[in-house]
Amino acid sequence: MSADPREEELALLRRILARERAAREHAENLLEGKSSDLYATLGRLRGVIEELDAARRKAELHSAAKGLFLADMSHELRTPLNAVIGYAEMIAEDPAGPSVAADARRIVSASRGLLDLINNVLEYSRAESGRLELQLEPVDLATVVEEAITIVAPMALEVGVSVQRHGGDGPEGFVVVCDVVCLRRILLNLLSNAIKHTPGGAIVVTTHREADDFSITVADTGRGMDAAQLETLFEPFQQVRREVGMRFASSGLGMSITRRLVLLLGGRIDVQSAVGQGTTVTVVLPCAGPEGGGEE
Amino acid sequence: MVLGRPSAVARIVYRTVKGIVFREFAELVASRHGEAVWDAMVQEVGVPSAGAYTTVGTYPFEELAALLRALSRHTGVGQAELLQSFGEHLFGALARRYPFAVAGHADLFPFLMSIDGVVHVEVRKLYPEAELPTFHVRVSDGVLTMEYRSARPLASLAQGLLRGAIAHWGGGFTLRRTDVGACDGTAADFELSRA
Repeated sequence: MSADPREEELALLRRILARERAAREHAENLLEGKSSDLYATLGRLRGVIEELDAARRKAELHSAAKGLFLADMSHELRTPLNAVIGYAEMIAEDPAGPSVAADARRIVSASRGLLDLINNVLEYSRAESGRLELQLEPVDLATVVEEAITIVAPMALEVGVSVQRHGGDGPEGFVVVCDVVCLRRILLNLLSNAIKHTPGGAIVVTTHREADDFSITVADTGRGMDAAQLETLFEPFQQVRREVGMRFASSGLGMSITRRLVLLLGGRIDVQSAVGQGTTVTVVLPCAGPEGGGEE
Repeated sequence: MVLGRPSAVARIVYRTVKGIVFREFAELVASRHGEAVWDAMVQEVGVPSAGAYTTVGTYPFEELAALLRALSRHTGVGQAELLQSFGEHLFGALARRYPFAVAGHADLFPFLMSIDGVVHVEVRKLYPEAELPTFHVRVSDGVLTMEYRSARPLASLAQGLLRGAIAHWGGGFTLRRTDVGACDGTAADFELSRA
């Protein structure tokens, strides 16, 4: 007995339809899975793109700041060099003239300024490239602070700034393990920076010990900084432009170097400031020296 | 190409075939022999997928082998010949679906030389789970030798694909096949030279 051909054809078509439906369902499930994978991958990619974008913007800003720095640095180098050449020529033209001694002093002053500038650039370069090697040894903190104050005293005197040291509420003097050259550099940077911004005012240096750390605070009654200035305080090459016209030349690297050195010593640095109300910088360092090199 | 690749561990071989091969096989059977033949084949072999194939899926090689045996029974044509015929059809279908794979190749030889290093690289991007055969190609004195090695005995399909490729680039080549190894269709050397 043969089946009805129409029934057979209908059954065939039903099976074909069932297969196509099953295939479509399978494909949809697979595509849903792929779609979810793509969505997750896209999310990760967006995150990566944002990170790369931020890194690129930072690099561009850094590069732009370096460009400005180089332009300003050329100016900063040229000014004292021109002074040295000019005064030297005046001496050469009239070696027995009445202003020879004064001209010679100006040459010395300009040369020292130039040397400071070059030293700062080299030091920043070393700190930035991580080539500084720490020499840890017992250091008497009070002595280092007193020495630093003595070194900046002429500079402070010139602009009528008083610099005093307070022992804080800890022992008057204590020994810590530190790299004395780095510590001195940090102090000199903080003090000279404070003097530059505090004409006719006062600076107080306070040392304090608490548990395993010690702190050095340099507080001034100077002009202070606004939020925008504070934000870029430790960024290299940011200081030069706004300090143009100030009494003392600045490489714009002092605070940047200071931060790098503090991090190298395993410490931290904090700045509180308000326009017209002065600035307080606090450096906290471990008494026993940095652990494992003290990097960031 | 989207068929088989020898596993690093010879005894554990997960043999799968991309869905597009099944879809094109079904299309070919239906167009040449009718939907009823394809339907009968699927019902006969009772494969797990029940013949519901999608191009984006991946299916066991055994289903293709079972369907091929069924087609051979229905048509009375040998499996090797059927595979070659299917390969020829499959090349055209793949070339239409993935034109980027053949575009840019002015001649047959550069295309064949690009399969392992370019085409299969792109296939893996699209289908990371694809198990691809290897096609080592060398050209000497105007003769291109292609060494086909696969976990699946599909040398005849490769032969058909080569015939399809020859036709795609206008013909004019002779193709010679030499089975190697166990002579079970998993390894063969193909020689192509201008006629």
